[in-house]
Amino acid sequence: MFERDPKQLFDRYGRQLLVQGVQFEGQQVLHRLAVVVGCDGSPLAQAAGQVAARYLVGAGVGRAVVPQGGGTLLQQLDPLLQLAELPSEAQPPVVQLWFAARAYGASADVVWTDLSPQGPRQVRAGALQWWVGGPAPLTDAVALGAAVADLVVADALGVEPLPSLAVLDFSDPLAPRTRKHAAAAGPPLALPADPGSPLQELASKLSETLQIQQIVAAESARCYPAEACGLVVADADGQLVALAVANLQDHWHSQDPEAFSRSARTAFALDERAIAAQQRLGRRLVAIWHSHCDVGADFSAADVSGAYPNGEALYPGVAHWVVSVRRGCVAEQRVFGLEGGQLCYADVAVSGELAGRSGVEGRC
Amino acid sequence: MTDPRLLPRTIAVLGCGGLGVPAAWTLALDGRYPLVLIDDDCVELSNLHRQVLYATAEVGQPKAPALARALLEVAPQLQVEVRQGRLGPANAAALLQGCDAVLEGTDDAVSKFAVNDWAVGAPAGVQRVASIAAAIGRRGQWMVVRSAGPCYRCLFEEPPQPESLATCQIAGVLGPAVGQVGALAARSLLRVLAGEADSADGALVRLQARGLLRTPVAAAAACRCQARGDGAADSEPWGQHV
Repeated sequence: MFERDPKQLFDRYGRQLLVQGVQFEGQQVLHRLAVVVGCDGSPLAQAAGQVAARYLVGAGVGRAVVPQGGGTLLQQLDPLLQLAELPSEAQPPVVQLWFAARAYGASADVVWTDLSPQGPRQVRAGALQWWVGGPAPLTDAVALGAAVADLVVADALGVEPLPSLAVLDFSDPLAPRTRKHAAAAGPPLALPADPGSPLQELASKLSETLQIQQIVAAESARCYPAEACGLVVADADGQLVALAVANLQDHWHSQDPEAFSRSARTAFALDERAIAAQQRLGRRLVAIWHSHCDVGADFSAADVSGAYPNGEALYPGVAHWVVSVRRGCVAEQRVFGLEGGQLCYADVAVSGELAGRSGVEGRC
Repeated sequence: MTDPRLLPRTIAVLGCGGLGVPAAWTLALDGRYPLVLIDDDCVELSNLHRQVLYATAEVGQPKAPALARALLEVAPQLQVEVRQGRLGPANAAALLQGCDAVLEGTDDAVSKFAVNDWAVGAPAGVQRVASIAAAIGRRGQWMVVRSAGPCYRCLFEEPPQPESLATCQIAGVLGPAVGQVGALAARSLLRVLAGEADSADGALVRLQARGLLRTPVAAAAACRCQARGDGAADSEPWGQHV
């Protein structure tokens, strides 16, 4: 199975094979694995990606897909590393990492494409969010990159399954916290939308339209720490308009706490009469937005069951915009939708006019 | 913004292994402080899974100069000096000559206590700070000690017997986990030097599989440390304008 001499294999990886819970077969998994690292172009994301790649290659990942010429340093660490220059050369098993700077710090998506014994691909995904209460400094790149590599290595070696979401929260410098959501309980897999797709185009429009973001941010801050919700509609000439709509969740929760066990703190129930009212005005429903309080802009299992009950879209062709609000401020936002039957997402940039100061006074 | 007059002259990275490499990498990305890399060991093949700035071709070469070369590729403007040696109580002052801050990342408990004593035993008017880190398996810990405030001896009192300690040779270690600990220990050191609040300042922070755990350490009044020097009365934190 290994191309390495067995003695050299133990000499090189013996220290990690000794760790409690590590399975020797896991070293084989790592050796077959290819790592593809991407980033959003920020210095922090670029550096964190390099760190993660080095720790993964150090742990025994056998293949790396890197930009042209970028693999030299990795091959110095491990001369037996196989390099590919193009993403299309990355055949499973492959782990794709995507690092991005965020208003709250940074994030990394982990998508693992595997081969089952029968041949079809199996895909699982997770994410790590790095909360520091604002843009993360470049010096956080090593810890962030290592933390992401740790999730992948621990998964491959059989120590801990890849969590659907891990949050390292340093936003209170005196009380750092870690939260991990198990894969089984996490949200379903969402993949990045293709460039040029309708979802990406919508994300671009929302990113560029400050007026829409201001309405959503203001309503989210007003309702915080409860979830806010509303609509994005297109008028006759295609112009997008954002609306705030009442969140009825607390009303239903008080009426029937057994059937509606969650309050508006963690759930929303959009007053759907607003949709009909907009349609009567000749407006087309483009997206339904809602906020998440103090958690990421992920599409939760509850969001999926609300938007796609029984696997069918409740509002076909309508996107779902999730706005993460932390301490009253918009921290991150994504639009979700179905593309070819697959749940996909696209990031919506937080306007610089709003980042860090859109929330309730005194909370940001 | 920290007053540059309050920046320390130099940070020593003690131990260029699984903790020292990510710590030095973090400090190099910061770039504000000259570094002194101290180690007496050579690169081994079994190091490379966690000491990821070394090349396979460097196996057998001294670690400190190899790390210095790698850091200069990351940060060409970095001022970096190399010192060969293993630190203990007898040579701490000499080996740390000219340094005001230390990132302790060796696998030697004696070294950790010697660095602790060096930091808390600073003479009057001298401020020293040390971030002392350790890791094994998939877990680790770090604590920042200063001339004033709780110290390593407040928590552990004395170095344990060497035979009572688990080592990486026995219990193993995962590279990315020890990498996180080293980088976070350096992060804490940078924050304290900048006068910012940090969870490890006077407290032990543990990184475990289930998450981060902070244990505040008893205040200096309860410390049985015998090394505390005159500098203990100087309670101004690093980087704070006075």
